[in-house]
Amino acid sequence: MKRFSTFLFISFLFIPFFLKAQNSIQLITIGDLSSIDLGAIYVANGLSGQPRFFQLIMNTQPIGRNVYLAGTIEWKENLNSKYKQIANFTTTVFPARNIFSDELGSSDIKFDKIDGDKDLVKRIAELGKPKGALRIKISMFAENGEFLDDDVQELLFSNPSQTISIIQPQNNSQQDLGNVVCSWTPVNGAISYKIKANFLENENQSLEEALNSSNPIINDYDVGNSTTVNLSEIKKNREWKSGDKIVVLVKAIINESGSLQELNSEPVVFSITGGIENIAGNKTPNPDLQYLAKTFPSFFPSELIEKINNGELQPDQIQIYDADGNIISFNELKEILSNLESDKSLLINFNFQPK
Amino acid sequence: MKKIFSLLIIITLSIDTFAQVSNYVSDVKIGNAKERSSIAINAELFNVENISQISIAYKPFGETQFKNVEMLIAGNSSSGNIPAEDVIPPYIEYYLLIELKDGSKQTYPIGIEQGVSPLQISIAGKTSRDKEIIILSPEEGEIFSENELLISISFVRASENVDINKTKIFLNNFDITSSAIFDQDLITITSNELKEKFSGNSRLLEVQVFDKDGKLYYSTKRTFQVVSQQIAKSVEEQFKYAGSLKAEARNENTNSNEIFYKNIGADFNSSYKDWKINANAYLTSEEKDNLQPYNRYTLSIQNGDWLSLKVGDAYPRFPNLIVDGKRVRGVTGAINFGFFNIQTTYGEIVRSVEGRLIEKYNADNVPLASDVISINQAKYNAPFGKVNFGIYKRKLFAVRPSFGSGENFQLGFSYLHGIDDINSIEFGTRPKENVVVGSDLTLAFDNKNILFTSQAAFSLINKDISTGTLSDAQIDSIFTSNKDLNVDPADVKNIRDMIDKFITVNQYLGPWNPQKLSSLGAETALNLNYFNNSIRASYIYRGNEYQSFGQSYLRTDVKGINLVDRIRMLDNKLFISFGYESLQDNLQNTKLSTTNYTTLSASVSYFPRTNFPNITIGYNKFSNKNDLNTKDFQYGKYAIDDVTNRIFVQLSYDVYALVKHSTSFSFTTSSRDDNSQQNSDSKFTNVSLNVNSFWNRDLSSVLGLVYNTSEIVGYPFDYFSIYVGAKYLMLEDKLTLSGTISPSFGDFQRQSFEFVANYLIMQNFSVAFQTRIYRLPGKSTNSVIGFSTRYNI
Amino acid sequence: MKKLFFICLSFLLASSLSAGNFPFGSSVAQVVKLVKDVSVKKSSEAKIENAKIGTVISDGGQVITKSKSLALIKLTKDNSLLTVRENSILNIYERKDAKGINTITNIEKGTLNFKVQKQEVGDGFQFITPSAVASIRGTSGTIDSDTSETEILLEEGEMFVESKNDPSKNATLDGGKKLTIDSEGNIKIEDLNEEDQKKLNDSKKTNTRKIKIITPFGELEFEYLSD
Repeated sequence: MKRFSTFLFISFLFIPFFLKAQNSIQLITIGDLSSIDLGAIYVANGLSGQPRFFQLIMNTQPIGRNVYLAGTIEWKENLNSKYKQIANFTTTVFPARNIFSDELGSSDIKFDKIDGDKDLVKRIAELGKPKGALRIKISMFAENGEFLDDDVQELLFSNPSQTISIIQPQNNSQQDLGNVVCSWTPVNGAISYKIKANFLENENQSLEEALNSSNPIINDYDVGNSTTVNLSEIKKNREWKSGDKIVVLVKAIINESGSLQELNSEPVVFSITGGIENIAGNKTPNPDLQYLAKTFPSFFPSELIEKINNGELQPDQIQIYDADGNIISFNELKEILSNLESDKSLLINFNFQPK
Repeated sequence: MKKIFSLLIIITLSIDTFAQVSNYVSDVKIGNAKERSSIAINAELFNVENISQISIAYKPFGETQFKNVEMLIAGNSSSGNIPAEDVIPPYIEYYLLIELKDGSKQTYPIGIEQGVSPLQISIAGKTSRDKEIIILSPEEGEIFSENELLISISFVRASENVDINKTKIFLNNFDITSSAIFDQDLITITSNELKEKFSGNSRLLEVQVFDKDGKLYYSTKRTFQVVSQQIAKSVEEQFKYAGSLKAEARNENTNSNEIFYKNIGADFNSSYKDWKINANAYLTSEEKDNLQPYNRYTLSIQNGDWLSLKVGDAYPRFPNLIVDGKRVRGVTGAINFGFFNIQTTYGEIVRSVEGRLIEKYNADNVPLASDVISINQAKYNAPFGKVNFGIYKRKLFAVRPSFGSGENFQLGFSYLHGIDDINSIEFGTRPKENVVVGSDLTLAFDNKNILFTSQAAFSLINKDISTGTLSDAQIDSIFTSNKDLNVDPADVKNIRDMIDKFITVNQYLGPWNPQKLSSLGAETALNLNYFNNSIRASYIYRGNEYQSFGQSYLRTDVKGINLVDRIRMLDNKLFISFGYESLQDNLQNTKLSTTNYTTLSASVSYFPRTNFPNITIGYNKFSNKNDLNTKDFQYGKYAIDDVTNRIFVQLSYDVYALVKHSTSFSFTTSSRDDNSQQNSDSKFTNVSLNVNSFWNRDLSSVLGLVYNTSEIVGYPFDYFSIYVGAKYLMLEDKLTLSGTISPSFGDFQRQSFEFVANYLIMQNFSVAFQTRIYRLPGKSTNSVIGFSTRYNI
Repeated sequence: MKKLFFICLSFLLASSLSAGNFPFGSSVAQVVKLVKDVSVKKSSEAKIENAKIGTVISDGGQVITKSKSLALIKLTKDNSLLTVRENSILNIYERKDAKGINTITNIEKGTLNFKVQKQEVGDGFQFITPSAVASIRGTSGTIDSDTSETEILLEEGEMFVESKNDPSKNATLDGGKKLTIDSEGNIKIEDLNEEDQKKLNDSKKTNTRKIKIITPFGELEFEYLSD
């Protein structure tokens, strides 16, 4: 008797499970969803092109049984506030099968009734996109109204935006090629970060052009969730060397409305020090320019003096012309300024226009 | 016979030459030919671009050898002087010797070597009247710019018999007396008074003075030149060109991945008068259909500052909120009148790259994933597929009319439209469309020592135009079924029709809340430059939805201030700078929490210009923090709380020990303390010493030592590097050889060897060879070996 | 000849003590070129105004140059050339009589480059500074003067110089030499060295040249006096 009672008890325990196993619905949302467009969650018939950000796995007995769905969408604006229902809907009857979110309202499955809280909808519209969290509950009913099963999922939206900024290396800094520490501001909701780096061929090249030309040194290398890496340790496509100017960019990868998007940082330029380029005269302060800057401190503006003294300005970056458009060589300029050194009263006028 | 001979000499008073047939000289003017006064000779020229040099060959009376004096070529004329000591009566023989750029020579008159007689100038003796009438200006052969012309004749010493008012003045045989100002004993004509226009540069001044009876009392001539103050007319009217060809072949082996790069570049620049035409092309073996373009082509036409047109690849610059740094392959142009200007650009900014189907799925086994989409079932026998997404072709159009030249004032208005071509690829996702309208203002005063700039822009973006604009049926369906919205579908259709002219209208068009300034971008800055102080204060506002296709890297969802002050002191020996930036995000309150980003910078640089090192010391602090608690169980992972401190010191000093050694020392230490759950702590310290030695004119060397210690997320990384190198000039500076060796020890193990040779074969043709080997023990040996050439036209 | 010369000199010296009292005459000099900021007084009674090319200066006139400026003046009597350098004040006087024309230039301060034609018989040319009086017949050189000292670089010709405060202290300067004289009349004569020669050459520069330097960080434009 005791065994039979135990069996019955255990059987009763399993009855709901058994029943559930016969008719079940599972709501699966796309992973890492950090942001969603309002248009993506708009509940209406006739909309096309809706993103696919959740899936409903429906098991029924018999298979393909006619069912309809009822759903509620709840929203809490802040993490510490309570959920409030902003919309609820029911669908028309359809044969049960696995469906995606974009099929609701656009395929044979139409919305039958839609109700919403006007004030909350307006509030979300004012925000521009859902913030905080959404809780979606989908219930499955038999054609005759019998409740079969339901499932709930919560979506938290960090709504990342393009705030990412590179902290190090600093713009126009010099780094040793063995250790280039790159760190950046974190982006909540980022799935991972990618690094892109390439050579800056000349001063006139735009940074975007430099990043997108030739074979990048580092081409969208995924560094995971860390916000600090040593670029020297990353496997590169090309070798960088001393004297090179490098443009680096960090991208935060986010999932917006079911598709992956990239949020770009502002690019940063740095130089690799040491080695041959130091003596090639390219990157160390040029002695001729330094001499000119020392001799004519009031002639060279402070911005140029700094660039000369840290090697950023080199003679081959300078173009010199007279009023007739004739090119003047650097040596001739040196001669002219040497003459002016001995009699500064010969200098009538000078003017510097920074870029 | 003697009498006839003398008469012939006397009669030969003409100082203008008769025309000779010459390809290069059209006319010669001779200045005043008086004893012991230099004689100026001006020649008007043809085909100046072929002429290398002109000189006067002259023979004073009684001498057997011709002497030479070089003439100065300016524009289409040349001038030179026969020295005063050689000017003795009765005459001087002369001819012009023209050396051409192809090495040949010609004379004027032609055929001097064949026995044609040279020209003669009769020399008059000085009279007392030369001292009475003094031409103060011009001097013989003087060159004036157009607005500096002065003709001045002094009659201070003139005899009482002279009637100054009867004086006649001719310029290039044209009577200009009416332009003269008679002021007691001085007659003056300046450029202000001279109304007549004269062609060419050379001028012949003739002054005729009369006595009270009206008889010619005295006459004299003088030659001089007038040139344009701006770009010399000879430069303008000549067709000039220059160009270069570069070719490179380079093999790079990195991590066992070997790539052979070949590229060729050509530049051609030409100018004719105010017109400039430039063309350049860059072709590379890296150009692939499945990548964005690496080849570059540009043809540009320019006229002064007012017209610019580029076809091909261009990088238009608009206000940085709108377009900045983007390559546009199409047409870019600008017309600048000063009071009104317009610039525009239209073309492709992204090339289409087709995606790739990786795996196919049926309806019953298709997973939910970002890269799984519906595909053409008829074509692929499956309704769904996992793909590598391609890139849509993107076109951009931008225009900016503006008022004011920008020197002191400019007001501009910008419009941008960008759109993805949904038919350009098969496997793509979410093609977009973008419209931006903006305005910018510049005010500058006191030679730009006060500069105020401001710009604002508003954007619309449609994040998915694949389904096109909402149809009438869809609008009816959406707004009829949802009566709570209380919106008349007819109104929606009207608004749709209006906006659809600019951008696709559907549920993905945003922002939904423009009134909250979510898609507004704005910046204002004030720059002041006084008392050796450069101060800049700026405020930025960029809504979270602001987006422009012309500017990919703009930081958005931030607002805040930025202050920078740079001070020069001690006669530009001491520079101090301060910087402070405070930004915050979450402008539209859509995030879990608001993050504050604060940056503090300070540096001091001292360049003593004496026997003391140059020193720079700097400090930076970056802190980022939001309101979330890292210990919160549910939301702690979204907490942000990190601070980075960085200190750097740089010293540089020239040491003289046998020769000059430029030394530099730098010390940098940085520490990031990340209190979030990420815990991305890092710290590093770098010490480096560099010595450049200049042994002689041809030989220089470098020695460097680097020590680096770092720890990133608890992972230590320490190493020590040495590099030694030298550069040597040979073969009269035509050959430059450079080489370095650099081993690294510790956690970063690498040995590198680099060698570069540059050889100037001819003045306009050079070649370069490089070989660089990088050995990473236990990992790989990478190399770069290449050869390049450059030829200048 | 020398007696006549000294008589003229004494007369002029006496006259110089009351500078500005010469009778009003016709044109004495004319501005033939100028760079930047130059003003003139056309005569002793006239007001100061901006100089232009062609401005005529009469007896008692004044030329004033500011920083980085210069003026080229030609004497109407004989085409002698005076270049007034920056930060200088020059007064010009002329006295005509039956014998000839005497020109006196009073350099209150600054630098003057001169190329004076050989004076006709009866004519005279004189420089006066706060510390010296110099007479010439036909010379070229440079005079640099402030309140305490006058320096004369003589390129060619001959010049007689005496102390303004003590005429008994004097000297004759030949071409190729330099003379300095202080307010107490101490005179020193030396040969022109390389630096002096350069100074002399620089003082003759009156043409201007503009140079533009384009760098990635901005554009620098400067203008200077050249040959």
